[in-house]
Amino acid sequence: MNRSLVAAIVLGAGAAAGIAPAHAAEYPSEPLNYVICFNPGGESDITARIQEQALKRHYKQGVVVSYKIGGGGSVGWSDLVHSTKPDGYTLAGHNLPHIVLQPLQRGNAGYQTSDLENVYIFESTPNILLVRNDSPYKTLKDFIAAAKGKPSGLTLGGSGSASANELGTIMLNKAAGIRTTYVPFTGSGSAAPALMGGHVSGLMSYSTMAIEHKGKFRALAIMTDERMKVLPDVPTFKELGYDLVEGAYRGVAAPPGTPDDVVKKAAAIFEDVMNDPEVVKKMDENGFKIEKMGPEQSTAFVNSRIPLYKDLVKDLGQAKAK
Amino acid sequence: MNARTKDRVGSLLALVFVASLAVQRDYSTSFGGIFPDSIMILLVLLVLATFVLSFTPHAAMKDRVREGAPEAAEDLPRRKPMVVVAVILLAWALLLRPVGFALSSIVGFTAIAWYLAGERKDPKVILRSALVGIAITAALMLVFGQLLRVPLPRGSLL
Amino acid sequence: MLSNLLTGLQHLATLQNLLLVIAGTTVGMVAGALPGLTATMAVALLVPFTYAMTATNGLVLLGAIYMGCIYGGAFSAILINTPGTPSSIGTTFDGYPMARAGRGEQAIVAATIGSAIGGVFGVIALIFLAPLLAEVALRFGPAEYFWVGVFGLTIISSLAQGSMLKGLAGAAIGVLISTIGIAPVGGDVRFTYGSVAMQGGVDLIVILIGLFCIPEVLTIASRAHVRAESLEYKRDKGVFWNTTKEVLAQRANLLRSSIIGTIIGILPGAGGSIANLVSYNEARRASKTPEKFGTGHLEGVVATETANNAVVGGGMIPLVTLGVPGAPPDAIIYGVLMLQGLHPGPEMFKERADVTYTFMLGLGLSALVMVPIGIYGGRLLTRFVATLPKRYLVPGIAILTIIGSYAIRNNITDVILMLGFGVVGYWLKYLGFEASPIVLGLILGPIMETGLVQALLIGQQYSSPWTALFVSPLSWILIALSFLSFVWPYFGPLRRKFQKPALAPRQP
Repeated sequence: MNRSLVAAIVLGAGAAAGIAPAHAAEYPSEPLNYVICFNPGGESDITARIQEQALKRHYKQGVVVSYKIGGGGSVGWSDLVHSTKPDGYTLAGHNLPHIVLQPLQRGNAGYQTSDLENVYIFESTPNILLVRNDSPYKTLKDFIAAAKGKPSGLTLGGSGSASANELGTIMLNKAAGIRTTYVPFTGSGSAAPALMGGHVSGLMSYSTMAIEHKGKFRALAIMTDERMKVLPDVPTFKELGYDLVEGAYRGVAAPPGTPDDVVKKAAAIFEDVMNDPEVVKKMDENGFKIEKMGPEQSTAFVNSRIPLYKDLVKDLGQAKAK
Repeated sequence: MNARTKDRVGSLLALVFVASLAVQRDYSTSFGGIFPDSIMILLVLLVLATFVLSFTPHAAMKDRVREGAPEAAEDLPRRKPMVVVAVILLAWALLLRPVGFALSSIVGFTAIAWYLAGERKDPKVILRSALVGIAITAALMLVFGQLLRVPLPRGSLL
Repeated sequence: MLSNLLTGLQHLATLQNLLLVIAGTTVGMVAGALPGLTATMAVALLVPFTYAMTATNGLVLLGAIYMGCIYGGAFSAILINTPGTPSSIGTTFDGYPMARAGRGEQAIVAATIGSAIGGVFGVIALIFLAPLLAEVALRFGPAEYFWVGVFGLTIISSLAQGSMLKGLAGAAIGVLISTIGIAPVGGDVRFTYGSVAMQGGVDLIVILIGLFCIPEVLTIASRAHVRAESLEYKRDKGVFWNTTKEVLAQRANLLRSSIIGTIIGILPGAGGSIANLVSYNEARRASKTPEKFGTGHLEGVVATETANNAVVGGGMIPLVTLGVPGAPPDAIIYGVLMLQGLHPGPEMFKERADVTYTFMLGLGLSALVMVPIGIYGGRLLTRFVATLPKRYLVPGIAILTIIGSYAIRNNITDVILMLGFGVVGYWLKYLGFEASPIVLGLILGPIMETGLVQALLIGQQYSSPWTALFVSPLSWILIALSFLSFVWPYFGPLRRKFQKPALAPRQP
């Protein structure tokens, strides 16, 4: 928070002194470099691909989706913070809870949560509890009863460590007083075959996977406030008596020190893109939940999550291997 | 270096590598260390075995046989060009950040091409090397930068 | 099925689609030949070109790029000892020695014919056996993947030239390098030497280019003063037909490599990088002349290149049936399927059969198209590399290594790392630590670690979590295979000893 505050003050002073870059008024006048910090084919990549066409209407010089992969996103974000020109023409996709948990968990993640200049948060993928179609667990109640029957016997696969999926599993364990073991996979895609093959009892996955594998998986409950339109038959945890709302939130961030008006213009462009009927249709079809949080809103949202995640972080990676 | 000495130097280097990892051991979850720790132990055992075996009379005998063989006299690659090219390559890579891909590549390419031209190091050779360097750099920038849209380093100083 | 195939054929046989296949295959071959541009990257980078196309056209184009790319990796493997993609690592073992002996064109012809046959085989399996084979993929859970990794490591017993101990030590070094960065399970930050850039770990491509290419560049530089160079080119008129005949005569090798490639392609998470090495190992084991492998032996090139192109079709099997990408580039294709509103599973074979079958047939066609383009392009490329003055060849390869190691992650640190590994690799080779076991360890490390730790987590239900590694029959099959594979090289000489006296009395 401090650093971006200082940056804002410095920039404000700069603007007052009349040294603000002259071309800021014409943003965008250069191509956009849209950096994806995760593997191609993942949720972040697919979202960027959905947005790309609509973005091109605003960035007339072009949109380049490029990849800076590694460290669960930290390599790309660290690069954004430390060696990217803050002109608004390089934006990186970012991801909650990652950008909060990494600096909390690691000695040095290469960036601080507050270093990232939030531009826009445009989607979320709520956590969803999935089992196989032929599983004996027909409802969440069945699942929890079974988990109570075999302490530490049930396993839940999910995407990544210190991810929304793992947090969701921990939250469920706490709320229901059970002890399922979370098994992290490298991405939501690679967790799916483990459930199909019966190697894990269920998945704590994202809404997108429930849509993609409709014919094979049964969704027991979803961690949203209200039922999702595309999954009308899936009850929320809230309805079933567990106040659990959690998922991954994705958006774009700019390097620290990006002029405020540029951030605002970029946010306006993303707002417009997320209103594009074609984009909305594809997001819906694929199970993404559209969020619309501008710069202030998304920063406030990120800050509001920090205490919650801090509370859960000590429970991460608890299962003993011995 | 004969095979025994190579074994010993190689073993020691591998041990240094393991040590450099071992001092960084600091796992925050209970399963972050299981795999690397077991492999480290395995590597140490393998390396110790290699080291110890190099002292056996059998290894000494093998080396004596090899020294007598004709291929022992095989001409070693000339060291100097290798060192020079390696140094130019390193400079090339280090220049990427400050001056960007285009300039560092033209300079790096020209330098190597000129150096390897041997005795005929007149200005014409430099010019020709530079022209080829510029052409290849431009072609690659076209393919990667324009067609594939891989943003190449531009250089922070320029 | 038949009517679907015919529909697919009809759709494919439009001028537009045929041109897309040819263009895609060619572009893929070029990308594959450039070190650092993997099939995954090439397909990902070219996705935007498909936005303006129909689902069919886009998929046909991307499939052709993928197929061409895997094949294109053979060019750089053979000509400059650098696997253009990780799928061609094994091709360097025999391909490069062939090129150095002036038989580069022969190696390329062999790679081409092998790639085409493997590619077509994989596609046939995809079309006819997809649902059946997909079930096999699901049998593999974490424990089984761990044992697949162990099985893969046993290849060292035939890769290691000279000391077995050093081969194993090299593999352990490779595995340890693979643990640098964020742990795949648990997210521990490990062994980064204090650098944030290292949190992403060391990329396989960076090591591949460093260990395989840089030592070769330095060696060529050191010999630049010698006029008659190792990379000479011998003109040989009948090379295409003679080599083709020779390749086609290796029926067992072609079939075995195709099957290995298809099966490894089906397994999610394992791809061409493993298939080509396993296939190389098996070809060598089955060969009557195993000692010739590594010295420029045609069978080696055929084995690796057949297997890696069979991976293409194989990897699509779980993708179109289960929505599970079999190999990394399939993940991109999966993304495109989702964007186009195509849902893997029965729907793809019924409602959207026209798209699916056109796509699959397009893949097969691109495997065939590779032959004329590859032979012609390969001939030009071989001559070009062989006749290029060394003072241009050395910096020319150097610039490719630099741009390749940069482009894989847009990271300058990777370029410096690549050069560092290159110099270290040169010394390690001098000390008797070969590059291939290190690379093998690097490829298999993450598969083994992920499998092991996940199995241990799943094993919480047993009194000892390690039990989870030994519960399934499939695990035991893999353990037995690993054991056999490991001790086999020691049995070889023994077997021959027994066979010789048996043959002797027959001679008059």
